[in-house]
Amino acid sequence: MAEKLLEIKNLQTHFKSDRGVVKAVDDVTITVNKGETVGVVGESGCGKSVTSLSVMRLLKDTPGKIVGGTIEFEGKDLAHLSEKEMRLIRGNDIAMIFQEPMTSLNPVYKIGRQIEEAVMLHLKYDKKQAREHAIKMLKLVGIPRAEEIVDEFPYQLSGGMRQRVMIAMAMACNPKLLIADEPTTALDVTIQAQILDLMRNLSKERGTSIMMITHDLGVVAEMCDRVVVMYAGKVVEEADVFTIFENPKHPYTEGLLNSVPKLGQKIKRLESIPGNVPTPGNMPQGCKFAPRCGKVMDICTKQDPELKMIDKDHTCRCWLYQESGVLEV
Amino acid sequence: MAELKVNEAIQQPVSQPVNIKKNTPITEFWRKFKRQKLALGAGVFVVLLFILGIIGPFIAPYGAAEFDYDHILEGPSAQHWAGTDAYGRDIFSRIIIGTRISLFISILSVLLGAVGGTVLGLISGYYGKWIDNLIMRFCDILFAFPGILLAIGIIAILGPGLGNVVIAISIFSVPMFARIVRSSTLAVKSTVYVEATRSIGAKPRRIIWKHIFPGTVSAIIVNFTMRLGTAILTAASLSFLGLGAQPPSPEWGAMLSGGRDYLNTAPHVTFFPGLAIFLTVLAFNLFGDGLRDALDPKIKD
Amino acid sequence: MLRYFLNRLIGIIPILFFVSIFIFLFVHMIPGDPARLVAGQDASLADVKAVERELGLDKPLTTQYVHFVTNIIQGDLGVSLKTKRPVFDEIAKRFMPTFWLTVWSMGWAVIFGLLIGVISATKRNKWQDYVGMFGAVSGISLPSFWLGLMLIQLFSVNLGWLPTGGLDSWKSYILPSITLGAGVAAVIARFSRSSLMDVLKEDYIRTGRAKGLKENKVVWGHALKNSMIPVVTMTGLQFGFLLGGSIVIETVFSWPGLGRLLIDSVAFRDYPVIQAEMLLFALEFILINLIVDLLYGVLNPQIRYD
Repeated sequence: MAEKLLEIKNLQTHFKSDRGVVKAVDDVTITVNKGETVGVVGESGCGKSVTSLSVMRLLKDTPGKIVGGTIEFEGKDLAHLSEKEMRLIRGNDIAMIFQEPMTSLNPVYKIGRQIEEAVMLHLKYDKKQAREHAIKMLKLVGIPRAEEIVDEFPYQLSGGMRQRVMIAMAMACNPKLLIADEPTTALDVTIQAQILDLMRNLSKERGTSIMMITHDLGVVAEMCDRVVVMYAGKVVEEADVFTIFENPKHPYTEGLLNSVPKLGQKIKRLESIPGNVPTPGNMPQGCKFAPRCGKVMDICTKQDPELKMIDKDHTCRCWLYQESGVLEV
Repeated sequence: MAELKVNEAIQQPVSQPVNIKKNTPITEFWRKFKRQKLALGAGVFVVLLFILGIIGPFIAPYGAAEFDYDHILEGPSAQHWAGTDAYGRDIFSRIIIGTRISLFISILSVLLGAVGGTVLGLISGYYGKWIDNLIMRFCDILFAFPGILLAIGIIAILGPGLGNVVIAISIFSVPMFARIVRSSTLAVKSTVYVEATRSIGAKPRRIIWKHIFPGTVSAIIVNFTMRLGTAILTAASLSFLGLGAQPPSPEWGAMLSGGRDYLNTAPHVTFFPGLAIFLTVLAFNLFGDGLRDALDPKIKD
Repeated sequence: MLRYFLNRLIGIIPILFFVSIFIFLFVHMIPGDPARLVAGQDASLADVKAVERELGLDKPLTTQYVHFVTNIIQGDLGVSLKTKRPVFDEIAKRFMPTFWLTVWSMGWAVIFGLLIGVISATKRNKWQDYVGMFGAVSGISLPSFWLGLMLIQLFSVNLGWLPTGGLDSWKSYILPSITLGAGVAAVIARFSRSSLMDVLKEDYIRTGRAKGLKENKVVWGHALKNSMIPVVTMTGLQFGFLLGGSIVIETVFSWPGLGRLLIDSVAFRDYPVIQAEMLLFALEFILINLIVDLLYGVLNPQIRYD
């Protein structure tokens, strides 16, 4: 049995606005084991990024707030840690890289300084050691001329290079968990593959777990051991990566897979999921996916299904796999 | 690597819920504006000021030039709420009557400046090239002088007096409006609908007034309001320096200037006119802030 | 850097040229005959003609302009109509008091403005923010001459702590510089708040937090430097406001500076002095803008110097 590193249980993160409360993350449970890479997949606005920010407790500048559930990490509940305790974990035990390498580095400070900062803080290195460590990290992520780059400003680097710097920064304190929020979305396709390779190798070498937030099923196939599919703030399906690709159960997961071209398969046209993601203020009753679902039944529009185990290590939130006669209302 | 593209156009960040009911710009503006209680209060105050500006002379308990040599430099009392000045005139009444002067001067001067600046800005932004260069260099020169210095210079040429204050303030308001309108014009000009209008052969003047000008209106309104406060301050400063309204006019700055000699014995003579200026300018600024926040599409909830 | 500096320097030449024409024409825009003004109301026609020749007013405008610029470059600003002394000396005598008053005002306006701005931005929508921003909007709404008079009333007349006016010791600087700086402090506070709030939304701030940095370090270390770039520009422009404000404040505090000289000159119609002062103020303003541009380059590594 794999050892659990991070266990998000029944997490609820709500956003308050003057038009009402938006349940951005609604009862989400995700487990990440040691050394494992878990993909969290879904369309924009499904709550996957908010989930990752909740784990990091970086919701400060948003109107969002964790209102329920626990985030267990090595015996501690991150959802209820003080800001001070949380700071010791951020950048140290859990590091994060973001979607936008172009804007995620501070434009007015040199690359080196931005890496050294975390190293000096968490590893208690002095300035000189930290600088050496920064150069070592830059080399590790495959940046040529690391000794020079360390004294350059972010604007002097390309997007791919900056994402490498971000990875170097994130890995500098040897974190146990790396949260990557769409790390390759903003990059060119060729660079994407390089960055993913780099991340996979680093995680293997160092035994780092990765929580990979993405909407790109290609990334999932390449990187992940297990996949969590989210829709409208809820987990709709979870299974290992092979099961998800070979035997998806939830109509939404199927829809996602059908909208991706498969190699060596002749199809006339790609299917797309009809309709739009429901807007937070406009959630349908019952199953959130029902209005777009091709297999919709009567019960779907009335009651939300639960996340049920349908096979070993395979859960799904769909009435198709649950006794639909249990409407008790 | 395959990309998942499901309705990318509908990327609604979770933190910004979309509006459920379709709102017109005006109701949307009102929804945002009424939330700002301070700006709302300031707006009410501004309206009251305008009413006072119109009916002031009829409701003031005393006349602006009603001398009473038995009661000179008296502090606030039941008869004279803000006391009396060196000639025994009721300060409260003079402030009420003076409201009209301050409002009239500021509105007239900013209006002149805004009209001039808007026309120059529209021309500059729409036609570009040498005419743009010429207008913008002209603005640079006016900008090279601090506003009040320019006003003093203009008054040095034209001589003191309220009319010349209006001219001075309107001249130094021109470049600000010109620049704002120019940059809005440039932004609006490049939008698709102006391109489309031009492609069907509309005349420049028609494009400017029918399509570009409306796009700059909100920027003009906000700056107009903000500028009113500045104009009142500048006019009062000039009157205080003896370059604007002359005694015995109940202009606030001039009243304040007249009270300087009695600062030791009768501070209320300077205090109340100054307070009137302060509250009026504050109201315009708060109101302008509120307008800006409600009209600025960049500011979300 | 040097090229950027030279480019900026060359860039102000056309503005200087137009400003000098503007100021040159200034005297010609005055209603009435300048020669008559210099000679005095009772002077005979022959005297007026003599003055006209002396001032070169009988020559064509272009010649007069060349003459005007050559004189300025040589430091000859003419003679004051009021004191009959060289304008250059009159101005030189009063330059330093105004200069130091502006520096004092700016100094504390920057300190307090930034402090209020940063606190308001970090305590957004809390009471500190409301108090700070209401104070700031009040600051820009205060008539400076009224504030000055009220401060005199309180600290000089009632409490007797500080002088009512004039320039005798360092104490004389306190009230005028507070009065003059209040408006600028308010503008800086408002501007730095909104600038800092914009920067705090940036991705790299989140990166800083994700590193586990303390909030103070994120704000003062990462956010402030970025948010200062527009603030520096705006603060520089406020120097013009200070120069203008000093005209009013110096009158309130009987300050022996340029501003009061200007007001006295306007009252006396002492055109050579007014002309010289307008020129000086415009020059200072242009110079400050240049310095601000250069500072902008220093703060922002991304700016290209060509």
